[in-house]
Amino acid sequence: MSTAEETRETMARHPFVARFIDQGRARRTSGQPQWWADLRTGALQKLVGLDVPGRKDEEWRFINLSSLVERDWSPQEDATFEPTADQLEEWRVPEASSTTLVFANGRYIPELSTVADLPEGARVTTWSELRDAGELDVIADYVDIADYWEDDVFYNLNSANFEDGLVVVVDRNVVVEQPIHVLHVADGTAGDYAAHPRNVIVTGESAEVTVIEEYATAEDGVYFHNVVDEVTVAPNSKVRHVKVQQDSTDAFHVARNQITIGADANYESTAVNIGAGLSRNDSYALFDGRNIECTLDGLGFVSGSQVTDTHTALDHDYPDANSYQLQKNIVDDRAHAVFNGKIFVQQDSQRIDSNQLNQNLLLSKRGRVDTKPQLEIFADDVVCSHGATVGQLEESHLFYLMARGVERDRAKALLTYAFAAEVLEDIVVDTLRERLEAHIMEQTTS
Amino acid sequence: MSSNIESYLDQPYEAGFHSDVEMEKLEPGLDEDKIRQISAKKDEPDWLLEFRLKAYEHWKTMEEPDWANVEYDKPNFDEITYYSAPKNQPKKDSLDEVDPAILETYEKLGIPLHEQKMLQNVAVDAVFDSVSVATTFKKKLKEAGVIFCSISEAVEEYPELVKKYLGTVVPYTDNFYATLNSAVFSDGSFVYVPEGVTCPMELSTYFRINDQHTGQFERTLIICEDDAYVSYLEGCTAPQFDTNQLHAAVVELVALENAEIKYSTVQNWYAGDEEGTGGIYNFVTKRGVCEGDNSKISWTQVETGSAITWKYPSCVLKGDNSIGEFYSVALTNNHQQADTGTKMVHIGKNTKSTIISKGISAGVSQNSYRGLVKMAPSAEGARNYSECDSMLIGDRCGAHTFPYIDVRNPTAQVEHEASTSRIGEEQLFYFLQRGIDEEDAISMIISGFCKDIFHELPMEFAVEARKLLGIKLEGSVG
Repeated sequence: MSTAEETRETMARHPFVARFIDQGRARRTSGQPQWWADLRTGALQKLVGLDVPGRKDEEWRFINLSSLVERDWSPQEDATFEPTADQLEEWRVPEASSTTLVFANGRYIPELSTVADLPEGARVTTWSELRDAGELDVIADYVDIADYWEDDVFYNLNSANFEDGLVVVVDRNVVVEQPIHVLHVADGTAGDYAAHPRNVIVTGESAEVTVIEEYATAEDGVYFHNVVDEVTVAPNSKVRHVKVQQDSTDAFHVARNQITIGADANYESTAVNIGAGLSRNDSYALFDGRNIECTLDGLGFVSGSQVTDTHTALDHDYPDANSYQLQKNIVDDRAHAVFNGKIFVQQDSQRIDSNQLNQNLLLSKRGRVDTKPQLEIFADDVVCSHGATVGQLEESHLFYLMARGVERDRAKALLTYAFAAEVLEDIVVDTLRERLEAHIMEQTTS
Repeated sequence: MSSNIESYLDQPYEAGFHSDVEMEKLEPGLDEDKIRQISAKKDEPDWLLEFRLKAYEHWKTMEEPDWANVEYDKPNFDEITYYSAPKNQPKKDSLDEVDPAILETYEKLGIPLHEQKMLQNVAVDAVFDSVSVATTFKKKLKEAGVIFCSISEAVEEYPELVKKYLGTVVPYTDNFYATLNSAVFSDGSFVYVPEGVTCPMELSTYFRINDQHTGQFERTLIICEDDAYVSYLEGCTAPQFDTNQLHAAVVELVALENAEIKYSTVQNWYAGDEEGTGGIYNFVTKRGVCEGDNSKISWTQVETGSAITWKYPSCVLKGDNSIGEFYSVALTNNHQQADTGTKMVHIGKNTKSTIISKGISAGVSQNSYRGLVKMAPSAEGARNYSECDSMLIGDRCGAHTFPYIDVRNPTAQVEHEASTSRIGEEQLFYFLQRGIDEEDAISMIISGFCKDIFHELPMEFAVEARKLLGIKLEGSVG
């Protein structure tokens, strides 16, 4: 091979990608099982041919990635952060006091984490701990499980660079009562770093688990969370998944969520996006068996110049499923919310009942909402519906409250809060729900 | 149950005959010379030739779009004949002078060009392939001050009007097929309703592609001055050929203050045979501008034909309080594919739009709704309501919905709803139990499903549309 050819084969099209290829190549491989090394090599090769998505790409047409891709990101290892226990206090979830894992600037902090009182057959740990114990093979079959992300640049950036993340493995018939809380806390003043958490959640048949995945910031600043979640819900098992993203409003948050659901299983998730200057969440749920129930709810609340973009795809590949989706967005100031929800019903996937609703509350003159709910149906015996609304608060509702002596601003805040609360009320962890409700209330009154 | 549905669906194409009329046409293929020839044949003024050439130059730089949810073999633009006109040309004063074969064609289609016309109070500007053959009711319209003629005639007689509005709604750079149309359009209809006039009758054009390998590129321009009203009907059929024919029309509507334009289409181009061979490619750009305050544009379409349909009749709501409406039934069967919908662009204050779309897919067809509702920052108090329902008949077809909603004004309200379902066995059982046979039951359920749209169609069109859906779906449900 001539040098020119070599250069062509190893040069990425965009400096943003090239930088992460270099970082990925420099990463250590010791202690990695072969499949992990292969995953990284594969992603690095793939990245060479991938470009940063632009406005011409249908999936990215409403947001501008330039502030993300034009920055020189350094690896998380260059921006360490040692939080104190006090610093974490505000995000503690008492219900999960015996199952909390803390990551700071992408790095696992065992000293601040607690894993205790778990039933036998439930494992809550991290990639780094499993690597050190030489036991990573327990998750080998649950990583990089879907072709859906094959050409996704952010997914591949994660695969090429991730070092750590949450691992939850619950064996057959095991029910984990207490929620598991993974807290990613960031110090944005530590330098422009990129972290690539890789979270893996796996259940055995008839198992049950609740996971709270939270991103928060101790000090505001610029950083980039590029997350991949891989959730495998075994037949007849149940996973509740709550994601709370309150990253710094100077930060970037990109997440790819792969959810594979087996027959008779139930997956319920609520994603709350309040933080980050730019957040982009994509979820792909594959219905891999009959009689599945799946709920994918979300709340976005953005102000200032924040942008939040949620893309979901529910892929009904087997008959007899029920799926529900409620995505609400509140947009204030110059903020911008985007929603794209796809519902696929494949051929012969009969008797699917699928409902999707996207509601947007536009509070300001300069705010913007783009929504595109989308149905692609290839089977006839189905009941599928979607709805989307964009509007401001109803004048008559405000009047109702004002007629009862509630001041206009207060009435506005109450109604905005009520709009958001419909999504939050399904969060089963009480203290977390109350904390989020309080947060929304505070934000609406400020 | 499904075998019954299929037999109901497999109804031969009733308008599939071919009239032997001598044609005058250009060699296939397109270059600057051909455009000059088209323009020369039609005795066009220089500004129009300029317009065509500019469009052609731009077209050469464009690529055929492929974002629609349809799959087809791209047309070979070198094999298309861009101009084809019945040969015996001199202007006629009465219908008696028209070639009897042509009249017979219309007869078979059931277009009453003769006395029935009078009774039905419909004036027809019949476009046979590309050149307007006969225009009736001209006098009566003239008395009212309404101009209704072919666009080539309008270029000759009212050049100022055509020049003022042509390409203002759909510019020659708009999209691949609209640009092609701008370069080669042969004929079409022109309507001008002066200030304060309510057009005394419903205007109607029957387009018909007759000659094999002929692309039909008609161009329609409708202008409604202040306080004027017009209702325009367009119907389409094409005979049966194995090859795919291209139909790339452009329709431009301009509604000034308090004006209202109602545009109705029943499209029944040849859809290809059961194997999906042949059929029309229907790639049409239709757009209306509500230029003045309180104006209104309403699109109603019943799309049952064409192998591939790709069209989005749109409204640009510029004037304050202007209204845009879109009512659509799209039926696809066998191998048909349709990607259709609308765009509502709200610019003026308190503008309103309503979108009601009903898609019915059967056989192995694919039916997509694609729509855009855009609320500009200036669209204070604007409202939109959209409803897209799909019905699936059989388990090998597909129904898709792609609504885009883009809102930049907090006082704007947008609501979108979509659902997908099928004819339930329970519903059928209910009919059967009361002694109504399956075919009638299905026909009634479909009629009910599309009721909101049929209400919007002028009477005789509603009857035709209902019949058409019945014929198209015969034997398809069971």
